[in-house]
Amino acid sequence: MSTAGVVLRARKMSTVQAERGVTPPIDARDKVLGKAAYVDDVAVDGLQHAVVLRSPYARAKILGVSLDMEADWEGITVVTAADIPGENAVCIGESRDWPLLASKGVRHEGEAVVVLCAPTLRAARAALKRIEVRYEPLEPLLDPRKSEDNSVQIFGQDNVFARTTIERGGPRGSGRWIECEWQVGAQDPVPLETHGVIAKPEKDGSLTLFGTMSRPEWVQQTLREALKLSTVTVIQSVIGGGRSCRAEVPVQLAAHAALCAIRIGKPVKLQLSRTEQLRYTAKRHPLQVTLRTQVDEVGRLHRVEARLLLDGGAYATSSAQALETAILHALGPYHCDSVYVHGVVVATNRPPNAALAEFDIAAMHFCIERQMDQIANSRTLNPVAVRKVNVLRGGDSLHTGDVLRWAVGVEVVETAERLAKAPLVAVRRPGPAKSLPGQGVGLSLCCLQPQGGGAVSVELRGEKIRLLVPYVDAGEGHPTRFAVLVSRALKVPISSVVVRPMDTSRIQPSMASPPEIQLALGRVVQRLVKIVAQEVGSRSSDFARLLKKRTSTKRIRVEEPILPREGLSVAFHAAIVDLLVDPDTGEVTLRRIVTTSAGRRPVHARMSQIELEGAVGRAIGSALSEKLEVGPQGAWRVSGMGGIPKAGAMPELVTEFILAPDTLGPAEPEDGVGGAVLGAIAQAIEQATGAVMRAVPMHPEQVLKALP
Amino acid sequence: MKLSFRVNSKIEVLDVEPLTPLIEVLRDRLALIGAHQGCTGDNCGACTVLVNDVPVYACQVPVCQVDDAEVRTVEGLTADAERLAPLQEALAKAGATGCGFCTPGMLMIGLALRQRQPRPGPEELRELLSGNLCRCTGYEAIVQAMLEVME
Amino acid sequence: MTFLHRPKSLKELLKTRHDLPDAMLLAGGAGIMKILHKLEEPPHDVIDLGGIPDLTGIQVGRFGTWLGAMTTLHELTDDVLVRKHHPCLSEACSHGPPQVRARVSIGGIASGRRFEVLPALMVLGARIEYRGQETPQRRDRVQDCLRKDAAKGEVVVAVHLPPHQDGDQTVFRRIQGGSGDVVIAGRLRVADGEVKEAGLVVGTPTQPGLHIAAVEEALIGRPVSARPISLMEQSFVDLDPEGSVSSYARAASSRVLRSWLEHLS
Repeated sequence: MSTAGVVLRARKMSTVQAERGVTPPIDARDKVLGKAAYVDDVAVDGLQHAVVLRSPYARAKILGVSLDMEADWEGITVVTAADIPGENAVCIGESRDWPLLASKGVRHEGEAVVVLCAPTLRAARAALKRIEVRYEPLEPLLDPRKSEDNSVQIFGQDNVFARTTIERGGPRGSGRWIECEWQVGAQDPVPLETHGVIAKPEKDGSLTLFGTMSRPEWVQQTLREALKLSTVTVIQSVIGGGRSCRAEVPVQLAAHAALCAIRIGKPVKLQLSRTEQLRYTAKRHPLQVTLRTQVDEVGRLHRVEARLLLDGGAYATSSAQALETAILHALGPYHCDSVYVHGVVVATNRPPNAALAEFDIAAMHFCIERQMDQIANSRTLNPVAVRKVNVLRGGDSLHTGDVLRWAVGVEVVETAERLAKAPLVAVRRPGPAKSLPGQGVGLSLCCLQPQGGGAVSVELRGEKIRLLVPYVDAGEGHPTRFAVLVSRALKVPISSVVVRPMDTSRIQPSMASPPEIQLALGRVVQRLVKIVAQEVGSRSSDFARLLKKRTSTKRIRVEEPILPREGLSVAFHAAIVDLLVDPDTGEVTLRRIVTTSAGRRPVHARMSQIELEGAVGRAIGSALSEKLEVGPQGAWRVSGMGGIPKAGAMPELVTEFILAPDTLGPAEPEDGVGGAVLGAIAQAIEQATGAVMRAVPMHPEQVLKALP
Repeated sequence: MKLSFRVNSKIEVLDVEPLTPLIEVLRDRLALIGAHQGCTGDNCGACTVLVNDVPVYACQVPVCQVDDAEVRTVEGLTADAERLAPLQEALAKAGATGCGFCTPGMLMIGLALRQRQPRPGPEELRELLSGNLCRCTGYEAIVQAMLEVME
Repeated sequence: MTFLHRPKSLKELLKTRHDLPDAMLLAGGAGIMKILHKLEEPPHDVIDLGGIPDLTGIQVGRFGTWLGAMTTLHELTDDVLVRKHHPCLSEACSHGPPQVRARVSIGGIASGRRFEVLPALMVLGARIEYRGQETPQRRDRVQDCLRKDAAKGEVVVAVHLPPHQDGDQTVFRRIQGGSGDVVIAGRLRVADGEVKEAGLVVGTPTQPGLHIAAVEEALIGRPVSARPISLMEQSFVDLDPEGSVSSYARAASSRVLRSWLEHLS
């Protein structure tokens, strides 16, 4: 049975003033003063600068590396694979196939071959030109379809990094089959700050790493295995956005900086240039999906068969996780008892791609949402009605076997329909005169696996409460939400709560999700109150009063394990997009996006809303303006940072949250909204022009080509 | 070359190569780290500073072009860290900072637009922010905070 | 080591330019960092054009419009007369971030070949004025300038636009395409209810190219009474030997023009 949602609040664009009095982010002051310390902002005595020599070929044997002996190498340190004392592998979970530095051959353009460091960045860059690597180029394999055929072998026996099949229920006899192919090209998370790290050897022989690393445990593991370093401390810098893309590539970067730092006994910084970041760092796996659906006359799904092909790039890294996310979301927010889902990630000679949950979920939703539109078309049904017939209800089970204990898909879409009836803000984005209006709807479901692990701690130091939380923030504002939660629970001002950034010497890394951390924080503060009450001999649970009574200055530290939530955490979304399409040029002008999202009660509603607006923006960027092209040797040729839309391209945004019962494992209300937006944009273009958009991105070129 | 210019009302005299990007001089020579280098000329806007009240990309300006000029950076918005300037206050309060990497650039373009007459309306403001990217917020919170200050 | 030269007058500039023909010119400076990134060594001499009054100013008169080479895009869009007489140019200069528009100069565009504004200049029949100490003053059409570099020792002093004529109509579009932006600038001359002249320039990041095919495609199917249509004298320049004007740009521009003509009739 479905659980009715509770409308938290409706908010139109112009009501920010009414939001006064909400808690600003705890790091906002530093950020508006320009004092927040990103990697490149930190001054370190004797700092050396490292740069990487990268392969110009997609696939080649390395015949040798030589230095120009005419050049002056004073003060310059060169590191190759031969200098790695242990296993030459980046540790990404269980995966070990990605080398720190290529030795015998390269498998993608931009692969790291040599690292060098010098006293200045300029000197380091100049020295790069004095190194010659001799290659024997081989025919690269750049097409995932050809990789799947296995006509050329580049990885293992079958070029496959990961493969999964799910089958539930048997084939059914009745209903009409509809088969379509959908494609979602790669997506770059385009963080505003490129990846960077400083490696600093300490006097005691240990190494400290400071930078944009969101998975410190992988860094530690890699340095343990490759550099035989047993004591490595990883401290996060302030990170300029894109948490999920800070996982894989920064591990390799950290190892490169560490190799130099250990060799010369001085601190070394390595920060990617924007060109390196755009061309060679991990993107979301390009995805091709064939969907076969059997439906009855009202569009109800009788059977779904999905075949997914993901391009993993040259090394497996976190491809298995990306496939898992895609498979989990293969049916989007819809229910069907008879399902066959088969997914495979193959190797190509392209830069390795990585699991980027937000984009992985959105990509799969584009495909399933487009399929729902074609189902509606084939039976001349209302696309919203087809969605309502199929959307998951509480108690339904997913194709993975997970049972949903709550689901409010119908309520979410009906709320969006109601909000979308309001007149458009007329002045916003008129679009070219001839443009045709279109409206589209999209739904999405975000499922997050339970993780747990590690622990949270609170420390009472005088009147200050310090939180030690295993979470690396890159600007999503979870530390603020943790602080708000604790200050509310203890009824103390937020200024007395301090959240420490990730530092492995104090906090053990964990994969735990913010909601899991929040639950643990809820428990740990209760314990803190009890301990203080005991200390001052009171039965009160009023922490402020207890604190006043307290005479001891002794530091109290309480630790609480983070338990995994039971079952999946989910959030539901609906998006309704109003747009204009110029039939002469294929240009799309967005006018309004209404989103309704059902998830847990946000700790900080304003922050969740801003996060959601950011996610809508990124979906718009990947739908309409991102430009990723494949160069002749397989690396990305990216012009600009189109994955982020410009302010002028943003439509009127209307957002509404619907509360799910908090005890049943809902996700944050902003998680996974992108899929609904991608689907709704495609449907709106189709409504306006009849053009069936079969792929992301949907540039004017593709829209014009798809016009009937 | 010998160069003299005012940065946040303070006179600086430096000996520099004339084509050095202004951002390098600000960050490496004057320790003003608020302006960030996010791209290399792809218009991310994180390095925006004002030169004689005109917003420019500090990564694209050769320092010789600021000789005798007045440069303003985010560090010059307020002399007293305890008292934020109105734009800073508004962005912080609105929660419009996100990862914060674009924030100094947003503040400087915001200041330039605030000084402009007539002040931009909401639609024009969005267009005028086309040279400053923000991936975290979808701009809505930033635009609303700026409009509030400009009113 | 780079030496900076700062002439204070046109005369001084021409002398410096003559003495240092290989010096790099620094106009608005918006594009200089990209150029420097491509150079192995920084230039030995740089001539800063920032302090020369002869290169600034906008004059709109009976014989056309004179734009000093150092006039910025920002100044052009802000100018009421330019907006009135040359809306196409005004519109072309209004795109892009303020941080760039405040620095890009019209002279820099003419010599630096920025695709965003050139199509508008070309379709309006703009001419570029060159001066050199030892060469006579010359005014060349933009499209001719694009085919060859300026002679050694010459500098761009101004851009001239012919006067606006009654019956002239212009259109400007800038489309954010997947393979780069596409700029379309068009001009029609209408008299006695008929289109007498039509010109269309399509600019893409690689090269601006006058694109006659678009004009022809757009005119197919138009009523015979619409004759005679003589294409503007300067309406075709083959700047696109490698087909850099994409099939998309061709299709979109011809459709824009066709819609425009339909709208007129």
